[in-house]
Amino acid sequence: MSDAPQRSTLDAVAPRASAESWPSLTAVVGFLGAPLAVLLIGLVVMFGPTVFRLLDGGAWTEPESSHGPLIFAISLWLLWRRFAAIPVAERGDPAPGGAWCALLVASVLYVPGRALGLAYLETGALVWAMLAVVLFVGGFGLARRLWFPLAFMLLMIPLPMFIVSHVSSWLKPAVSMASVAVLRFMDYPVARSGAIIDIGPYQLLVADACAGMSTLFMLETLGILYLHLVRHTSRLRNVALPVLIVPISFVANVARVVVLALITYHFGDEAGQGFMHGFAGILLFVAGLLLMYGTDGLLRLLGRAR
Amino acid sequence: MSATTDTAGGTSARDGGKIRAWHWAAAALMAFSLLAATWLTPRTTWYERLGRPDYQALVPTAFGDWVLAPATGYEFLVPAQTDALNEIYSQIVARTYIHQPTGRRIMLSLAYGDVQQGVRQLHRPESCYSSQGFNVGDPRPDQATVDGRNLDLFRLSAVAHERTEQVTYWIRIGDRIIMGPANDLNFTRMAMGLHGIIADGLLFRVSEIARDPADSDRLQDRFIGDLLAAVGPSHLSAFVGAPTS
Repeated sequence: MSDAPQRSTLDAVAPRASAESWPSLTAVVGFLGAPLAVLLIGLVVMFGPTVFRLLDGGAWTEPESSHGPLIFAISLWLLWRRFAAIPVAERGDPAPGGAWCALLVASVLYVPGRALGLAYLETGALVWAMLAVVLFVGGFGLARRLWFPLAFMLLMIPLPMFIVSHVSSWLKPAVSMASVAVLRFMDYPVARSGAIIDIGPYQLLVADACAGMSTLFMLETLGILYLHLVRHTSRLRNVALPVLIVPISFVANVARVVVLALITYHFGDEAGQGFMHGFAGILLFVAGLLLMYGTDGLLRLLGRAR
Repeated sequence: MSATTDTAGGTSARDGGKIRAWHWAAAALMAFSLLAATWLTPRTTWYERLGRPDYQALVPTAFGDWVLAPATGYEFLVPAQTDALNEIYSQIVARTYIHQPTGRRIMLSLAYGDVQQGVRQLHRPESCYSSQGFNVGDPRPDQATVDGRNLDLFRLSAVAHERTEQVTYWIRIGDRIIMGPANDLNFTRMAMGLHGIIADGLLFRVSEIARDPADSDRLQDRFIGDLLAAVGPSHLSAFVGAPTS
């Protein structure tokens, strides 16, 4: 256990990027503090299988929740960085009461969630358990300093099917309708029935994936992360941008369907379904990001004008 | 493991640095949660209990006044949707039968998922029809009397261009026919799960291209009655669930 007892705890106090070698186990435990080390082992035991299931053909492999792993990774990284930057002396006093409450909520969500395969409960439990660990270690003071990565993790919870299918059944016809309106304005021979678009001799089906739930969440994720990293103080921008991302991703999706319809019309079915399909997806995403960035610029101007 | 590390010792970190009984207790609760969830996870499937029904074989190709229509190349679906359906359902039966006395055509469509979990849960016809461009009214709950047994089902009319389709359907989850709102489906699935059984799900759908709903419903009820009679009592539960209710 103690292969390097002489090594001073100073080594471990801040995990320096320039460390020549991997820190020893004692040094790691020393830095984390024994309580945190024990709690983290518990956390890994409880949620290791959860994360494995999510990634191994679980909810995170579905298009509408594919942003999950990215958020999880970013949150863990942010949690660690923030936590490591706080000197041990300033971690704050533990709040065992709050921690137990959070942990009980986590267990109550986790057990039926995991047993019945309800990924949203099981993943939600992970966020509560993380909060519990933070409260055990540094109380509400530490939780306040780590609030962003903790709250950000909420976005990685896969939405339950009944919400996804609800939103998507509303979104699909809306995207198709808007796309057809644009194409008609451009004088193309189009007709729509439900989520099926007829353009010239071709028929396009606006599938679930095209409806843009995944783009919406991905843009929303990146938008919130962006806002956090640039540390806006303006409340207008912090609230308005996440809200505006909803119509932005809608517009981006309509643009993609229109582009695909035009490709199909001019270059045939093969082109529309093959390489260009994926390419249009990427294009749409870039367009969404640019729109978001532009909107943020506008909001900044607005904020200044006042 | 001992608390060898009363680190660089700030005053407020005194408590945070020392390991306490409740740290162990918390870690134990986490491990216990995994055990509890594993213990509660249902292991037997209703699909097994039903004797692994093979619907393609269970539904006869000719019964009563009905014979299978020769393949016309007519398809229910846009090809792109077939892939999506195969991902959700483990068995699909799509056939058209002809009512010999009148020549009317009834379409039968069974969508079966042996494991109702996550994305593999079945979809309701009203959403499938509307995404294929039909205008769908709200499904109307109704009852048909089949073999002296009341069968709960839904009716709906789907309209697209000049085509009107009268649809009758029901959903079986495990041993129950689902009536009422969409949540009912989820709750039934979960209730079975807590009894250690992974529910299966069958969407049984019959339809006719016809304008008059009342007239079409009568014919469809006859079709359903004849079909269930031909299936026989031993396999009935694979179609309509437990005989009680």
